[in-house]
Amino acid sequence: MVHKETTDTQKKKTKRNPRGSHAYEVLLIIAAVLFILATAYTQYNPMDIILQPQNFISFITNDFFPVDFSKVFNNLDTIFMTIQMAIGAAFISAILAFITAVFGSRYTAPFQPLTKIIRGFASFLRNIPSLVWAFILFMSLGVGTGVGFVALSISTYSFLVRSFIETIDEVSTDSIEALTSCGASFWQKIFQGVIPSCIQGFLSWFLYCIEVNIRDSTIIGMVGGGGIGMVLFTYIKSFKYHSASGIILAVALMVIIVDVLTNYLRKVVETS
Amino acid sequence: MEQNVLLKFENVSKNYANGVQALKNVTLEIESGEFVAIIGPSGAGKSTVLRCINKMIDASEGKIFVEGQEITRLHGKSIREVRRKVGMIFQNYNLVYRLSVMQNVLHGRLGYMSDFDSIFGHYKEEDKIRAVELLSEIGLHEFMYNRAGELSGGQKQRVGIARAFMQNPKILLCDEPISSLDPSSSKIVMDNIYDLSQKHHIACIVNLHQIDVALNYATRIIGLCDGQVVYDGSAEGLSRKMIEEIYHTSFDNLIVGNGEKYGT
Repeated sequence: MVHKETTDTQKKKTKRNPRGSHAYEVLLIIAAVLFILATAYTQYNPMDIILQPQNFISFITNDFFPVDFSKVFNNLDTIFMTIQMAIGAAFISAILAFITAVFGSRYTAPFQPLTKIIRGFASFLRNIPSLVWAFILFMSLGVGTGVGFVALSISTYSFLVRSFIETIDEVSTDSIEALTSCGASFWQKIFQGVIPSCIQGFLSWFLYCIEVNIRDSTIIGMVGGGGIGMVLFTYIKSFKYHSASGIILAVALMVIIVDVLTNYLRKVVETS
Repeated sequence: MEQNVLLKFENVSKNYANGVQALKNVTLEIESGEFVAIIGPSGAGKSTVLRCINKMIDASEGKIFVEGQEITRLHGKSIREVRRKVGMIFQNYNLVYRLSVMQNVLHGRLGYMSDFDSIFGHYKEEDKIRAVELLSEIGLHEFMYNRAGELSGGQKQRVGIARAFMQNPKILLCDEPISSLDPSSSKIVMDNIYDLSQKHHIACIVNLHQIDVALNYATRIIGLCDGQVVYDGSAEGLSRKMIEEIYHTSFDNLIVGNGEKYGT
């Protein structure tokens, strides 16, 4: 038996190596050819921005500078609204996604056919970007912060369902098997097995979603979801570029602060 | 004698969806107090036999009786009632590593509890006392508040043993309990399993790759090869020739411990 196993693994190793290196070269050539074809077709010259930067630079120096920060302080409440949308959507989606994921992981699901339906449903939702969800919902329900919140929640939810299912599959397979063999019921397995072993992973994904949502909620705000995005868009449309640049810098600062904070929290969660 | 039969396999077969026939017409009877070792090469169906007993895997054909009750057709709540009578120990320990040792041991009681109590961890006082007793018996009481993930491999496996005995099982299934352990931990774990199962007079079925360990402990040895029982008898009766038949190879190709012990 021992002899057989070693020869099997040796075969696998020698097979894999030569194929891998060629695949990368071929992919690189294909990508280069596609790039040249696409550039020729769209008549886009990547050198434009380097050879003729006058327009771009004059727009920045004349219209964006000097930066006007006075409007930032008038709009602090909308910045907080954007942050609240991001965190709120992540929170609601995390709860709903957890409930869904428990039925979607094949190790915990009480009915196996359900797992495929849930995975399919979640990947359908996920493949439509949050901006598209926002447009769909704005068209059907009208613009507003509430509708923007729902759009953001849908994309966060679909992302988290997938991540949570994978966390459950990866982390708690063995312990769930043991609990099942003890005669544990579905809810016992969830509360004594899945939650204790996966809570770390769940929290980490949740914090990551807040990070992503901060950016998304600004963009959704621009197309009608309210918050700082809406304010920014109004300034741009009314050619108040000095105020707009102040807002843009404020948004960047907000994103950086939230990133640093969630990264710190994720480290705390992961080392606990 | 019929009353003593704890576990009975009647012509049990198992076909997996991928076409593999893991068990072919297996017929077995195991009595309480027996310490049975199942040996055989990887893929012979050892794990399938164990997992059919607590319905982690459903047998395709044949009947399985646990304490005289036919279990192959059971559903829902009655499966849980069978499972709590059957303790199981795993190769990878299968503990919830972020919970304490105590909480892991108490998981053995889940099959007896209502959903509501177990969700909030409201274990009965007598269960907690029993868990501490079991932990002292296997020498782990000083670790009871430690996280299970902090323990060494051998200690984790002993927590697994305590969890299985918390169920007050009639049958104990051990799926390669010492395959991931060093020799000294292996000895402690096998001694724990043997002593506890003898003390509580329960039947113990152990899958093993180590033939010398099987011979040391087992009162009876079952040799499985390609899903069929090719040997069922005492440890003394297991000859070199028999071992060669079980593992489909010459005796010289096997690591079986002290070769002098086996008859020809």
